[in-house]
This record gives sequence, C-alpha cells and structure tokens, in this order.
Amino acid sequence: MSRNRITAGPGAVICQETYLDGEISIGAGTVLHPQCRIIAEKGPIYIGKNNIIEENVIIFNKNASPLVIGDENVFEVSCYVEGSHIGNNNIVEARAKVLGTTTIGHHCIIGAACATEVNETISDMTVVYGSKSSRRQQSEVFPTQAALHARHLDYLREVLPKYNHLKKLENA
Amino acid sequence: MSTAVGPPPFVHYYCACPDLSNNTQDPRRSPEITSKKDTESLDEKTTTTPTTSTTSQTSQSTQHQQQQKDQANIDASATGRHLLSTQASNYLYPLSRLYFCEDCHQIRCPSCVQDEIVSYYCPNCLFEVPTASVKSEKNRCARNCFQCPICQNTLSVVAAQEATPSSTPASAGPYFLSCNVCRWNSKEIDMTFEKPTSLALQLQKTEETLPDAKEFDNLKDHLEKHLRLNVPPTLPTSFLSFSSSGAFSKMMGSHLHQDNQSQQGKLDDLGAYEPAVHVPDDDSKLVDQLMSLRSVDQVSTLSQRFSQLHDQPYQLSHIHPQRIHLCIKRSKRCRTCRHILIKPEQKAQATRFKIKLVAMNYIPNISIVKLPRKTWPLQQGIPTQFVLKFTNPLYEEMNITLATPQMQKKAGLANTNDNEQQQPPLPQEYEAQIRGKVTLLSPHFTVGAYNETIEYDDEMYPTGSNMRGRSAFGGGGSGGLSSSWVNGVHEKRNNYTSIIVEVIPEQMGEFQFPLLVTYNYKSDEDRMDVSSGDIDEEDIEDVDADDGSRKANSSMRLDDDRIKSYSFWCLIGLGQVTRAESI
Repeated sequence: MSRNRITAGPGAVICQETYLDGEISIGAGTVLHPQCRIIAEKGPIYIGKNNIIEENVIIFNKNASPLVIGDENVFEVSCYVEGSHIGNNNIVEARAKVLGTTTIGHHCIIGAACATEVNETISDMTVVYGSKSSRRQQSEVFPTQAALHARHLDYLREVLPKYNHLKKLENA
Repeated sequence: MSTAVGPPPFVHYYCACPDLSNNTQDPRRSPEITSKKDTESLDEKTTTTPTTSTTSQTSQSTQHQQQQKDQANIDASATGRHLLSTQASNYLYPLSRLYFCEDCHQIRCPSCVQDEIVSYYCPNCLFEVPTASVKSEKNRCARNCFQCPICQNTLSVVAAQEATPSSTPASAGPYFLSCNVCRWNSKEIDMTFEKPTSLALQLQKTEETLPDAKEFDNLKDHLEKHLRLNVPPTLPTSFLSFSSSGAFSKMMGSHLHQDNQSQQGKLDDLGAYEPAVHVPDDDSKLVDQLMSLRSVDQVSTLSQRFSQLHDQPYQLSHIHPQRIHLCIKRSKRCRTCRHILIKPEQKAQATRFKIKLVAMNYIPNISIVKLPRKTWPLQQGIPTQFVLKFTNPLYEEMNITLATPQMQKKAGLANTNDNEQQQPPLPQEYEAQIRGKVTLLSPHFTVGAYNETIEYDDEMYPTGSNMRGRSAFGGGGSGGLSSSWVNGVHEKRNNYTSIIVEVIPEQMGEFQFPLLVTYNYKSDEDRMDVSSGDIDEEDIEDVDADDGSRKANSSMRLDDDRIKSYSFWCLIGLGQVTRAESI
C-alpha cells in the first residue's frame, strides 16, 4: 500500500470532505467537490489542469501503472472511473462507468449511465449514449463548450470555498 | 435458498365489465352474479337453476350441454375460480388503475370506460394546439420542436457562433439544431436556419420542392374532378349528429343503392394520366451502395427508419429530423350511465383534474403486510401467517365481510346437483385451482371512518379495544401474538384494520387466491365525499321534504340513511412458493 502522497498545483480547490488515498497529483485549477473519492490503490493517479470532479465520483486505480487524466475534463456526479489514460476535454456524465484499462481520447462524451467495455480504446470525438451504450462520432465540438467550462470553473472557485472547508496540500 | 426473485406479491382487483354481461356465452360471468352485489351473505350457490340458458334455437341435447356449461360457468364465477384463469388476467387491475362510478356504484376499469379527447398539446413546448389546426399540421407540433433522427430525443436550437459582446445582440449567424444526448447537429445534413423561430415554416419550403410532393399534387389535381362525383360516403364519426331517422336513412340509403353498373360507368370517364414529374428511381444505386459498405454504422436502424415513413431511407444521412408528435389529454366516461369519471384541466401545464372519481377514494385499499419472524418466501406445506390491511377511504365506518372459495375434491362441478347427467369435460381454464389452503381468521370486521385529523395522529396511541393487554404493535414474543389470534384482528386503528390470514401452500409455483370483499356502510346524503367537489345546494333541497328544518351541512339526517353495499373480487398473489427446507 503506497503511502499517502498528495500534491496539488496552484489554484486547485479541494474540499475537506474528499477522500484521497495513495499517490495522487492534482493539476492547477482543478476543482474537487466534497464527497468525491480518489483512490490510488496500486499505482499513482495524475490528474491534469482545470478538471471538475463532482460529488460521489470514484476514481480508482487498480493497476500498478499510473492513471493519467488530462485537462479540462468534467466528471459528473456518481461516475466511476478506472481506465488507464483519459485525454482532454472529455465529459463523463452522471453515473457513467469507465471500466478496466480503457483508454479515452480527447473531446469524448460518455453519456449518463453508460459504460465502456473493460479494455477498449475510445477514439477522439466519440459519443457514447443511450440505454445500450451506442456509439457515434460527433462531427464537431459543441461551440460553447469551452467557454461554458471556463465559466463553470470560475463559479466553482468562487462559491465552493464559501460553503466548504478546503484542504491545504503541498505544491507539486 | 433460491436466488431467483420470482413474481412479487400483489393485490389486484377484478372489474366485472358490464358490457360483457349480456353475452351469456361468455364463460366469465353470468347475470346471477351482478344481482348478488347487494346480498349480505355469500353461499356457495351450486344449485342455481339454469335460467341463464341461451336464446339460440338448438336441439335438445346441445341445449342441455349448454346448460351444463353455464352451470359450470356460474359455479366457477360463484366460487371465484374464474379469477385464476388466464382469461381473467385481462380484467385484473391494481387499485391505482381503477375508477368508480358514483351513479352506478360500481368499479370501472380502463377497458370499460369510454375515452374522449379533451385537448392536443406538444409534449416539448407544452403549447396547446387548437383542434381545428391539428389535422392540417398532421398531428405534429407546428413550432420549433424537432426530434433527433439518431436517438429520437428533442433537439434544441443553437446559434452557430457564440454571442460575443461586440457583435450584434441576439446571437448572430445561422442557427441549427443540436441534440444534447447524442451530439448530433443538423449541420451534418446541411440544414441551417436564418431565424431561431418558426423553423417548421422554413422547413416547409424545402419539403414542397421534393419531387414526391410535386407528383402527388399533380395526381390530386387530375383525380379531383373524379373524386368529387364518386366519393363513397364515409360513416360519420358519431351517429348522434343525425337529427331524425330520415336523415339517417338517407345517408345509409345512398351508400347501399349504388350498384356496380353505375360505378363502372363513372370510372371509365377517367382519362389517361401521364406523370408530370419524374421521380428518380434510386434502387439500383442503393443496392450498389449497400454492397460496398464497410461499416454498418451508416445504415439506419428500424426505429430510425420508422420515424420517416414516407420514404424510409436506408442511409442514415437521408433521415431528417421530424417534427414532434402531439400528445392528447383524455377524459373518461362510464359507458352505462355516461357520467364523467375523469376530467383533466384543459391547459397543458396543469396536471390536476377537474373531476377525479378514482376507486381509491371509494373502495377499501388492501395491502399485504409481512409479520416478523414468519417464513418468507412461502414454503410448501408450511403454514404461514401474514396480515391483510384494509384502509377505509370513506368518511363513514364500514363493515367488511370476506370470503374465499373452498377447495373442491376434483376439478369441475360440485356433485350436489342431482339432475345433471354425465358431465362433459370442462374447458381447460376451470382446471385452475387454488394451490393450497387459505384460512381467514376473522371474516367479518369493521373499519373506522376517515377524517382529516388522522394525518396528524401519532402512531404511539392506539385506539380500539383490541389492543388492550397486548404489547407494542407488531407482537413482541409469542404472548402478544396469541392474544391477537383470539379474534383474528391484528390491529384496528384510525381508518384501517389489519387481519391475519393463514395460508398453507401445497404446490410449487406462484401462489394466488381469490377473495370476495363485501362492504357496507351507512351512506349519508349530506356528507361530502373525499373526491367529489362541493355539494350542490339544489340536491340537498330536493332530497327530503319531510324534515322541514334545515340544519347545518354536517348534520346527520337519519331518515335519509341507506345502507349502501358493494362487493368485488380481488386476486391476492403472494409470490413464489419454494420447496420446504429441511430444518
């Protein structure tokens, strides 16, 4: 069991009620809501910049190899993320599951309550949706998504500290 | 312990739909049963005379056979075994789906009520469409509501570029449709709009230029003259519109008197038709395309194809977003007395009802309660007790009498009718038997009346003399349980009464048993019912002139009291019966 070694970049907002376990590195500007759990059981977890990790999210690394998460991702409420490499600008919607050693590219959307297979590679711009987790490629990124994400982050950085205690972690 | 879940326990009520009672061939019922509704006691009527004989003029032997069959039918429905047949599952409903007609004083089910359309509305924008324009818009929303061609979710209108502070207000640029679920947008099929409103109108222009539509218009013009002369008269939507019998016979007569000769002559007048617009025939190209497919993603699924019925294309790129179908609001009416049972509000946003005569507010609500430390799921051969809880929705106290059919030695008629000859084999349905023994410990009991203060009652203070000398409700230890066995009533409080029922399942499989519930209560004309609206002042005036003095609304007028009684069957299922585990 690796010792707890959690580092966070500047501007990261990590609430007191989060459960962080193992070797975790959190990028600058990332926001962790209360009640989320990041468990680096066997291997480290490296989280990039400007991510939003909402309540009841479980990011679990069962493999010895590091789990790398990119920038500007959104992990919505109650999703379950294992996987091995997650790119940038993805959205993992509520109650979705990313299982096993799956790799996710950039600009993907894992729809609400959808799940990926245990070991597959999801290429860029893929949308997983529907009750049967069907796939399709989106032709372009939603035009306002980037601006919306930035506004979301600003709002959270302003409001969360008002209602939650924050953890002070050493800089990476 | 079996891990299979099995069917859950349920209580379903049986609706004796009155429409079918006139058909004596129907094995489900007989007129004898409808007249039994107001009787106090239920005997096992195995000796009813075959007065329900058919009216058909058959020979003596078949008539006798028919009498025997009717006898079987009567017996089966008298004992409730008809509820166990597979046919009866069409008429069994949970209490939430039943209505109650106050005038007829009977249960009505979704099958025996008449539906009428109140209004049409779009489920997306909740706009109420006037009935006149529903047909012209082909039952679809005329505004901006579209359906994603891929996932059939609602599309939202999005501006192509963000509204920046420097540009003109109200997002500039072309608009397009976008789906939030599958992230499809209409730019993929080159569909953009100039304005964000009245998209249907903008689409209509492109729809009109399709070769299919143009060809159809030409064909219609050509045949229009012919159609006007020769159109066969369609049946009117409602025969009530005829003012007299003369008008009715005129309508039917013109239809019947047209013989074939005159029709042939008129058809010949039609000139030859030449198609004005050539509709391209793409079939061979389509086949080539399909043969060279590399991945099946470009082929549309059946449900996607069915959304676009006029051409049903194979290629996913040819499927356009369709306008959203309108939904309706219905009002329901009792078929026998034409009394409205359910009437929703006209507005699409309103979810309340103007008139709501639902069975929950009239007949007792039966639920199953599991006793602690009892075997569950049921095991074969082991007697198990559980509790049936009856909740009274009325403002008056009601007396309930229960009955279950007895087990018979062999499937078929009882042997008490001496006049019968050798019985013909009965239809398969009547082989259904209750798979075990059911004992009601207290078949007759009362349930208290409902009043609003019950909502605030603390559960701590039980009422009713049956609770005396007993430990906390639920029975703590065998001592508490044995006292409740004395009169079979487990608990009597506020407006509900729980009674103990013991079952001994004897066969494997799902255990169901029918139960006949008869209840009567003193009806007071002045009292308000839970579901009705305000009392009509005129009704009270007319009721009785003997008692000259008019007191306040809540007075009990004893000379007006009538004991109202009603009985209905229900089927109680207790889930799967498993093999008894050896201890």
